[in-house]
Amino acid sequence: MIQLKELFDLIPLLIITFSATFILLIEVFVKKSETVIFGFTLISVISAIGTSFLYINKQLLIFNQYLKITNPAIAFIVIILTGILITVAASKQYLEKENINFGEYYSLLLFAVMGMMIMILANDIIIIFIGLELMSICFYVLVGFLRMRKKSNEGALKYLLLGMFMTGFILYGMALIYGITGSTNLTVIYSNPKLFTNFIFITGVALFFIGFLFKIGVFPFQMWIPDVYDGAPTIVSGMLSTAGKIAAIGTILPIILTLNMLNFRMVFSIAAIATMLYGNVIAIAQTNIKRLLAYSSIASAGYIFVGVAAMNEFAMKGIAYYLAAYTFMQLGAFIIVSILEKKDDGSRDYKNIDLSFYKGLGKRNPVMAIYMTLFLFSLAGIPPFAGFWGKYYLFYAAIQSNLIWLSVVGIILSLIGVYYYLKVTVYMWFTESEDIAIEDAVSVSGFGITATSLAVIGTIVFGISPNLFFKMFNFII
Amino acid sequence: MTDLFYLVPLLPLIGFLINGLIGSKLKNEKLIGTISTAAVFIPFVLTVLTMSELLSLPPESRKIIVNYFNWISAGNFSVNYSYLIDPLSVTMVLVVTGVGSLIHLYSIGYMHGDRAFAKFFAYLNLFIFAMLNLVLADSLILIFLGWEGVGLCSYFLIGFWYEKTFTGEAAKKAFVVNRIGDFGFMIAMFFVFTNFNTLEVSKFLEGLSGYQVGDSLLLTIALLFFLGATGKSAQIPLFVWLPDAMAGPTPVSALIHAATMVTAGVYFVARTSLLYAMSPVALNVIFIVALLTSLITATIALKQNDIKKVLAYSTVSQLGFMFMALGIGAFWVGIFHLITHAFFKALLFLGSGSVIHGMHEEQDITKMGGLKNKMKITYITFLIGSLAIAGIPPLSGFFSKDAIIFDSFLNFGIPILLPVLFAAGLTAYYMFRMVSLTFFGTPRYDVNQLHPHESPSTMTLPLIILAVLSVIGGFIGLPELYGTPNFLMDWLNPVFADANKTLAAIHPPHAHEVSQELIILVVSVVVAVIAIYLAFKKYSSVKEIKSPEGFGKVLENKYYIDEIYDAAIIEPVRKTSENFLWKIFDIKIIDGFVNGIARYISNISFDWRKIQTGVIQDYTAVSVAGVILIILYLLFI
Repeated sequence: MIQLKELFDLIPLLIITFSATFILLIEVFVKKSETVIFGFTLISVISAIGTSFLYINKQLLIFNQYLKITNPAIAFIVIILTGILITVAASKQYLEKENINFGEYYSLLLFAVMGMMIMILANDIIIIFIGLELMSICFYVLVGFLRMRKKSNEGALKYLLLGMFMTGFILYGMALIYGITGSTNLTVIYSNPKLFTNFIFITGVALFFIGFLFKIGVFPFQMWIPDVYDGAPTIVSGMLSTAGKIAAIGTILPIILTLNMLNFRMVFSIAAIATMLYGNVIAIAQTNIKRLLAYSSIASAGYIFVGVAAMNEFAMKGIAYYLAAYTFMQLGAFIIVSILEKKDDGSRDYKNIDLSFYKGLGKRNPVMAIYMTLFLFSLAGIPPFAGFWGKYYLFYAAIQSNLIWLSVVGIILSLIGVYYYLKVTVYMWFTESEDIAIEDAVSVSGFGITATSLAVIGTIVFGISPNLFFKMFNFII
Repeated sequence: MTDLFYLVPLLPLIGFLINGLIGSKLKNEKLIGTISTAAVFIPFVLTVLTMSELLSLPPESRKIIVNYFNWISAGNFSVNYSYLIDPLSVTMVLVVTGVGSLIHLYSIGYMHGDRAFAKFFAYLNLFIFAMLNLVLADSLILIFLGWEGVGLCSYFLIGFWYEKTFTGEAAKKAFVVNRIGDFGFMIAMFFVFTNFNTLEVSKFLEGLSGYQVGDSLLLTIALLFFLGATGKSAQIPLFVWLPDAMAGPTPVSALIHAATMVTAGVYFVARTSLLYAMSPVALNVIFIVALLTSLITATIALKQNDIKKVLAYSTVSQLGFMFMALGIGAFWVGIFHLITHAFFKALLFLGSGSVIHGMHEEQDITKMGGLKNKMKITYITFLIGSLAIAGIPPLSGFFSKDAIIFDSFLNFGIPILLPVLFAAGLTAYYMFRMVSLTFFGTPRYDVNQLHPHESPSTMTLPLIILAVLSVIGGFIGLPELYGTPNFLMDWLNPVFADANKTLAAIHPPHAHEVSQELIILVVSVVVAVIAIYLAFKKYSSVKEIKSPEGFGKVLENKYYIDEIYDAAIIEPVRKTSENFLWKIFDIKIIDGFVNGIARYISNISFDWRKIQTGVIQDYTAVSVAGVILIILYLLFI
């Protein structure tokens, strides 16, 4: 029986759902509604974050066992919401700059978040599917939000086609799982370990996972990422590469860990290595900062899968921590790219996203350059920033499962990554800009500074005191 | 008082932050100087209160460990940020903050008008902070932090006037030479950690009870720590940096290179006295090294003409005296001489600074002369300092040096007594050579061009205070000859109780008679007086200084030690580094390897980039291939 009081166990989700719907209504009744909507979105995201903390240490199964609240789930949700908060804060200036300051942007964003929260909290594969599709559909639209731009449309279409294609695998996998277990409820599915060796069940689980590997961008399902992140409005790319991926990982990670099917370990290990190799190596040849960051996000997915392959208690901790760190640094870097991007002048392409634009940035815009350097250093895994500890915990988890070879390969590959992160840093500080026509000062709005500063604070604070994160979400250390 | 004790190191740190961050904006020298001086003087007052609190406790329980926080914790390795408050550390803090605040006060006048006035005081405060950590810390790691911190500040301050080439070179030399000693110190720490599983000095000393006297492990640790001490406290073979360090501003020489930092090695050996008591060989090594250092540098000082260089060599020589005391096992005497030396050597350095100031940056004593009427206060105080260091009763240096001389006689007899007495005589001689050349006789500078003047009161006041301390400082440790209680010995000895017990078990203390002590005392005074008389007679009315010949020239050139080091160590190392390590190993092998890999990966990158065709059909094909491979793997392997 579903009881009304169970709604109180879902306050953050309700806030987001209500806001997403309500924003569309505001547009109808309020003139010049963009600023109101912006403020309203900010407030609702903040209050969702705040209320999320109420559920720490409350293991709950609600709505006929359709939803399950756990500490890791809360952690993932808070990380996502923090990412969304930073995204929203930085969005206003970007949307105005690109002449796409429409209220539905915020609504779509919040619907996507709603989907993410649902899939993370889901205890039933059908619910997972609903959440996933809700999120994905919003993403398709958001990628194509710059509808006057060819690249944006192309990205949206590619994402849609490939996304639909991969959704087919998920559905087929779900059908096989249901066929063999007779249930869609995860608790029931978990309760029958004898089935775990059944080849139909294995195939079903594999197909189900593959759909998520696509969303996360793990080799060989990562092909869409550079094209989509390059085409999407920059701020959306940042959100996709963080919140979007975290939702997918947050959904399957508990399932992977609970099923604990060790025959998947080799698959994940190989996928992790291939992903790290692909991301880090090809990133070197990039000349466009958005594509570079896209490959960087592929490499990050590789690191995360080193942790996934570990399949032990440290994996959850390590991945959750890495994702928090990753949100701050990756999103921060994308936001800076979006801030530095040139104002829309009716042309068909993004401006100022070439790497050569970053030459001499240290002189032109020291604050942004310092922030960017910080994010890049953190992404490269240089202490004392959060990115360093993130990688540390992931490789540590792998070592605990005797996957020493995997950590060694991972560390070597992440060293290759240092090259392209430092390349941008060197461009910013140690070279002069070639193009004299580059606009000297880019005006940064207060919200832009706030958003990036938040990311900087996160990168530094979690870097200096990594234990703080585990204490916040009461992970057992 | 221990509740507030954290303020003692904290205030200098705050002073450093204020002057370091906003000092250059304050633009008010008085304010900067006051903040900085107060940041050292208040801790001094707090420490005096702490001392009175310790005195009210019974001697055995005068040891308080205050733990502030857990600094590093990794596995079973853990370092606490904790301070050890006991008579030894309190004494050191009193010297550091007491002499330190006087020198801060003096610097306000001395550095007046310097372009980086605030920076100077920021560094001084940072130095005090590091030095306090060094003497208060219980953990070797924290001691080492202070150890390196004072070295760093010393580097900053030697090179403070960096626009002169020589200061930069001197700073570098000090830093590099100290690194050699630090290397020994670190290896000793590693030994301690692997064998005793702790880095806290108190626990390490407790752990020594499981070892035999003369154990080779203890000897190794003791010698390695002593190597560290020879670096910081300028003993053979690492003393060469200290004379060059005089390139820094004179208050720095007084504070860091005479009164406090260079005594860190002495302090550390005293702190780990039990370790040394259990390694008699190490004690003998210390004594021999100290005696040689003392003799060699005292002879060099005979022929130096730079007023600060003479004092620098004198400092090295006096540090030798302190180590001699430690080498004998008379730990409290070493600290006693450390204290009195801090008084009179700080006084002498500040006095020399006053002379240099009055002579418009002239440092060559052959170009001075007859200054006693022009700079009365400087002259009188300088004379007092010189008498104190020469060992004239009843000034402070007399008591501490006499204790060392007498103890070396007790332990080693006449053969060792003679060189020690000789070194003491040399001290008196070179000091009065300098006093005579500077203050007596007729001016050897151009009296029409140069008008020496007395320094301002912020400079003379510290001189007067230090002079008073140099006069009375010795009374804290009166020899038993007088039948009066020896305050310092009673105060410090609980710290050295274990070490003294161990030593007594090895060599039962010699019975000695008061008459012996009296004879040696008289002899040492006679030696000093004769040396002073000779020096005064030879130099007080000299018109022109000829450059020395024969052995004198060897002395003037410091036994060519710098040149020998250069030819024997520095040049070979430099040549190997340049011709092999750099040009062949680094450029060809390492760079070739690294750049080769980088080029290879970069090439791959441009090839692989083509995988990303942008055509969606290709993407789909890759994905499907992936799906098939994964499923096949899971089902059949």
